[in-house]
Amino acid sequence: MTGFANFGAALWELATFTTLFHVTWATLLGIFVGSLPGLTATMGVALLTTLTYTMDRDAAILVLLCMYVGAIYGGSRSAILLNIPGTPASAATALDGFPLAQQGRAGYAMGLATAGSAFGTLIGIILLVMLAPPLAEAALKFGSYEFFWLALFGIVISGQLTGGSSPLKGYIAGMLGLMVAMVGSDGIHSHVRLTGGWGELNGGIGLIPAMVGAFGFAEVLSVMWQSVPQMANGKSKGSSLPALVDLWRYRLTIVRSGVIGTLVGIIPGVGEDIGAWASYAAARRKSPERDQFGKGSTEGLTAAETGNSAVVPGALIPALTLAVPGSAPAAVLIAALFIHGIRPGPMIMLEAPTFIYSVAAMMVFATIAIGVFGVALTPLFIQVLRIPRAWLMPVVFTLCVIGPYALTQRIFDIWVMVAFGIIGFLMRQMNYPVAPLVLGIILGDLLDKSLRRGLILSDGDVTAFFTRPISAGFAIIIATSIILSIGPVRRFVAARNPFTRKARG
Amino acid sequence: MRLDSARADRITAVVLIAMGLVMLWAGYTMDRLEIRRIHPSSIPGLVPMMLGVGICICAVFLFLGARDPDDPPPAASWRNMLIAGVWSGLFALLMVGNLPFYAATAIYVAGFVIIFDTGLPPVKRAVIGCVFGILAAGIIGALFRYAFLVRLP
Amino acid sequence: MNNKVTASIAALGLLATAPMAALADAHATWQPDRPINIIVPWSAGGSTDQVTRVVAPILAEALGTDVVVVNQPGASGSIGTKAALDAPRDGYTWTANAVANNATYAVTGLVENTSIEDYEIYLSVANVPVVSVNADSEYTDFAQLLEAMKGSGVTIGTAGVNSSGGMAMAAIGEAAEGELGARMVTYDGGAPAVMAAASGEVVATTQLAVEQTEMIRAGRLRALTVLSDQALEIEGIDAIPPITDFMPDFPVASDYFGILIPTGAPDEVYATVEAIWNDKIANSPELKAYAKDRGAVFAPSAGAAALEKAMPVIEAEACARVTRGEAVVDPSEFGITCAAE
Repeated sequence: MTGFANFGAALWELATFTTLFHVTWATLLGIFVGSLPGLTATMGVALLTTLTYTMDRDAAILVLLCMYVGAIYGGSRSAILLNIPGTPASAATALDGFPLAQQGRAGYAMGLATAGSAFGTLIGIILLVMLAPPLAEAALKFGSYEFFWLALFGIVISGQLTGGSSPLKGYIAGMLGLMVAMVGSDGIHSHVRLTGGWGELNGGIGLIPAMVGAFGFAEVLSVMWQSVPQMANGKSKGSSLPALVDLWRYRLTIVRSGVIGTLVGIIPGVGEDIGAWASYAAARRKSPERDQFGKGSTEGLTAAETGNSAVVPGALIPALTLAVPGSAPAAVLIAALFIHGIRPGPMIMLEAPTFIYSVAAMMVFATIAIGVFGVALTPLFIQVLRIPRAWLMPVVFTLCVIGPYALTQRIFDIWVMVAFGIIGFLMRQMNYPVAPLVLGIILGDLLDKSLRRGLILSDGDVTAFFTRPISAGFAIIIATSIILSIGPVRRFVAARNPFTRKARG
Repeated sequence: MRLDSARADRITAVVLIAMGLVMLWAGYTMDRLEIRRIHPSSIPGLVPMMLGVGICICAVFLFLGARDPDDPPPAASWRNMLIAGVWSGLFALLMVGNLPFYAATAIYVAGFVIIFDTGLPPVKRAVIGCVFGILAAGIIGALFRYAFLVRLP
Repeated sequence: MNNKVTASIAALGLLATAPMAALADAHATWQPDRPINIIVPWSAGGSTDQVTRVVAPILAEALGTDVVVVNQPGASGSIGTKAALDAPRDGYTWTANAVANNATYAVTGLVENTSIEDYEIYLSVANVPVVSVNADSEYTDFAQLLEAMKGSGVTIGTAGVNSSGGMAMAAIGEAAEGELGARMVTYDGGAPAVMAAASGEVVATTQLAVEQTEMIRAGRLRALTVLSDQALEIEGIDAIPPITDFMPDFPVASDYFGILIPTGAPDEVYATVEAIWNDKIANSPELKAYAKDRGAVFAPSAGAAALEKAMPVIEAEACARVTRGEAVVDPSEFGITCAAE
């Protein structure tokens, strides 16, 4: 328990006016970056790194952590209000958050998301303090074979969750995303694939422009298409402070999502987006009201937001103890740490034993800040919904244009955004979910590289993908969930399962 | 017009099968990089081939399972969607990059308001639209230029 | 709120410009009026990114403006490099890389029509590859590993054929004069490749020393040899023996990293940066500490001297691509001559 004693000492040491000042502006800026479509947590942290050169070490790291926590949380604002995830981490949040806003409960949804994020981060921080060294060790057991299954698992689960009555369309969307990810230089031999000789495509199709297009521009088109706009309801009533009853009711969901998110964060290379999906999937499986998921389930929203925020402390565990980033923003954070004279890696517990606890304490401050801002800014955010669509939509679209451009400063990315906007709009019209498409683009590279890397390691032996315990477990879960999603099989099983019969009856 | 009918699904299925076959062919004919002596099970075309087969299988199920939806189509305006889409496309693809960002944004936002805010009388609409356009362009541009240090196109 | 930070940095910048006046005498001093972007065509946290982020704040202070590091990874660094070359040649867009890469993008066809002539170069450090194995492995010296590499059981983690690790493995193969049965396993970058060796997924890695020091220090990797003609000394680790102890004829070419400014901007840009480089970077305690700590060689130089230092590795890499059949353009078109096969 010395861990917690150190943690307490770090908290006490940090409680100064300067800390408060940095936490305030950095978290606010983070929420802002997160809520603008196209600007990601990675970009926010990278940008602030250049601005914190001249600050002293602890202040700089504090500012960067607040930016990271704030941006992941901020993505939920635009997901709930506009159905456009501010960062890829909030794609699952939009599934239930936006329907809630349409029902006139935007304030309530944002309050719940705030509580979920705060609790998720706190659970992650507790695990960070308790488990950092042993968990970092366990994450090393994830090799190429496991990453392949993890990527496939992500596609299958998100296809199933978002496809509604037709998981098939979810799988198709996921596979289209994987196909998009195949374009450009491959990750193993740097061989340029499927570009048709078009040089701009050598680096592949950017995730951010594709996502901003498929969610943002497609949403603009959909809103203009509707004769009676189905935008979020601006006459949102009710307190944004979520009823305590609700939080107590979802206590299990919150704890489960927090733990899942943290564990996902620990695995190197997978980030907040997967954390949100995994928590969402688990919550839906356990929930008595699973029919409501995707139609405005408060439990689904809580799970997604708790899950993505818990990834943040989780991702820091391998980043600090192994110098292996658990997520993309954590990678930038490692570089920033180095600049400020902290050497993350296996030696950190020897060289700077209290540093992990300082980081945990800094994140507690960031969490408090998102709680305060979440409640304080909700009325302001709600105002966004009162703007008529003829005024709001061009501003949203302008952000969709400049956001992806800001990341790489390539005009080509604007074209990609527009193309995916049209694709996304058509997919929505045809009842295909867009989220698996985006997840496919995220995971395609990982799936491709892990499969081929695994085959090189095993010298072409496919059985290596089934014999390791974690791999075998993944394979069984994936096979079962695909088989169960086939209509006749599902009805057959449901009819013979006494548990579901009782629940239905 | 609606795009979630059984007919639309069947047409999509055929398109997807065509895409899958192209993918399979592209993966099969893709350079095997023998000259670099790479491991034969790590050829770049491996996953594209698998995806080609996978999408064909899914498309067959889609074709067989195509059903018309039960619910009535929502009231919709394809005209509004097309106008908004074309105007936004013009802005993103032609104006940005050729005009200064502030000017392009101001014209786009003002145009959008003037086209769609039909609740106001014409003259007032034009004036308010222009003011809003200039304001929006100034704020968004300044935000990215000074806060995020982005070089605007 | 962010304005406050920018403002305070601008204020610091103004202070820093004062000593600059004394610095440049012969040339008009360049005073940038807006932020400078350094495009790092690799992902954040890699070897290029690390050293660039050490150098950038020193340059920012000396130039009195923000120096923003932009990561534009993709296609072996060619995407970001092309962006830097296509940007207006006004001295406000720079790039950073292992300079041999910039010289050979045209040879491999990744970027058309470019050579090292397109840049003024400013070197900061030289990096050396180190051959290491998992700490639990049976190999205790490089001779044993080399023998095993001729068989088929050894897997070697690198960041790809074009990376320093990949080039190192190819060089070992050529020096060994025979088919190596060892399989190269490609990872996303140096850090993941090193991680794979530390976790035991692959047997060995040939990535750069800077990417391995943490794992070697922590006893997770066992360093067997450094691809250099002298032993590598890193704080807290036993000296790593040079590869020439095992293969006396091994061709050694130091891999220089640095900042590259595309040509075409006003002359005072290059003169000013060169003056700062020779005055500030060459005496920078931060860069020295970085090099010492990570096992890089502190080697700042600028202008013509820098090009001269970098030429051997440029030639070695360009010609290696010809040998391996990857060249689509003959390096002689860029003034690089390779020994006849």
